[in-house]
Amino acid sequence: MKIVAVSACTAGIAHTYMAQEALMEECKKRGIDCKVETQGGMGIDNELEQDEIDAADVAILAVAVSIEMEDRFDEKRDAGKLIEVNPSEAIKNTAALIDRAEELAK
Amino acid sequence: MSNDTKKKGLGAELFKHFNTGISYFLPVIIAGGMLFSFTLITGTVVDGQILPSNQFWQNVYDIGQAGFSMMVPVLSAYIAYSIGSKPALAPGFILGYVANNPIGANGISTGFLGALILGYVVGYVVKWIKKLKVPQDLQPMMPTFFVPLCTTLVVGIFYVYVLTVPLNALVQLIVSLMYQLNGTSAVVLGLGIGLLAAADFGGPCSKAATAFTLALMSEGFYGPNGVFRMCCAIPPLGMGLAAFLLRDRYTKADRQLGISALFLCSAGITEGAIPFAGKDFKRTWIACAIGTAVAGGIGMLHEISSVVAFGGIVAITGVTQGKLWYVVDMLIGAAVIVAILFFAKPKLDPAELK
Repeated sequence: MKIVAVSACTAGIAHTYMAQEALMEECKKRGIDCKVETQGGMGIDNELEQDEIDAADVAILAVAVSIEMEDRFDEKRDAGKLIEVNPSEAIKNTAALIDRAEELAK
Repeated sequence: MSNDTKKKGLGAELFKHFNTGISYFLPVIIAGGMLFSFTLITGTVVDGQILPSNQFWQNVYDIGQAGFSMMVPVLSAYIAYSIGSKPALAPGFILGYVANNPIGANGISTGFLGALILGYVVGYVVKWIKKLKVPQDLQPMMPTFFVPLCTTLVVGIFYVYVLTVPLNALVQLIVSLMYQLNGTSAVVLGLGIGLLAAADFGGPCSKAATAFTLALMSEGFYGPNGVFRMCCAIPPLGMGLAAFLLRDRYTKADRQLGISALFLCSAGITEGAIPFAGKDFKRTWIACAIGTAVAGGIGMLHEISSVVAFGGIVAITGVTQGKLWYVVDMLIGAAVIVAILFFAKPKLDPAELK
């Protein structure tokens, strides 16, 4: 299974990167292939290519702001394979979030 | 978790666009506002104005001032951008500048609040125009020519002739109410001034209080001006202190915002509290409004007077009466804010505090 995600919070200082870490850790624990792009105060890091997004089973947007190039996820959204949550939700209830992602991937 | 699966409501969508604006606005207010306040700390009072002490600081001041005047346009531009994407950016910038400067026959400026409204209007207008079906030949003209030009003109004119009318009426109403309060008791007037200073973090209410206190100053009453200038600094001071003192209620990122809020407080820039209001509007607003109103009330009792049209700690050089009370009442106001947040704000989840 493969998950792609974008994290972005308002100030772009802490929650963006905390959400990235939480998602990576939880996926590692479960043996899920995961890549998280961050759109924080320093701009875009670890950018997701379109083919990486297409190849993923589920996409997660852990965002509190509008993100750059959101249209990359249009197909995932139309297919119902997109989960949108707050970054703090991704930090607090990471396990439940990944449970949902696994459910969607089936 | 289940709430997130539902289709997002309009409120959540509006809030997301606001957050996007704030995320771009933050570095501008920090760079501009901090340079601005740095230079004024060393300044001297000349004819009711604070001037930097030498040419070097004057230059730094001018740079800070430039950043400061960009702050409100950046907010409206990126709210618009968040909604309407790239073509909304130019009208957002231009009209944010318009909101922040006097315009129309009555010279109305609506500041932060006006820019906020304009950002949303521009964004949704652009989003709507983009959906219009235009002939294939005109298509290339749309993003760089037609959309920015028409949106700026139409929304701009709409703002000047329609939107400023209720905002201006509000300002006039507040000013006349303040004049009536002026005849009653000093404490009530102080409460009113404090409430206005915090009410919209630098929007039309603050502008109304500025107009009122300046008018009284020209009539020789310096008390309301002194109290108002003190009150301007209280919301950022209170929020900055809250971020540091209430460590289980604010994150590390909040404390970084807190540092800048404290700097902005020193120059009386109420806008410094906006990032906190953006995250938790209700509690931040209630705490700031009560804390600042209380300080305003006791400030009037202490007969704080100032001859400068500038606020915050740096403006203490212009305080002619009650210098000590100026600082003490400011701290009391901030303490009230911290106390209210202590009781009203729930503790954060440990995972978020790392």
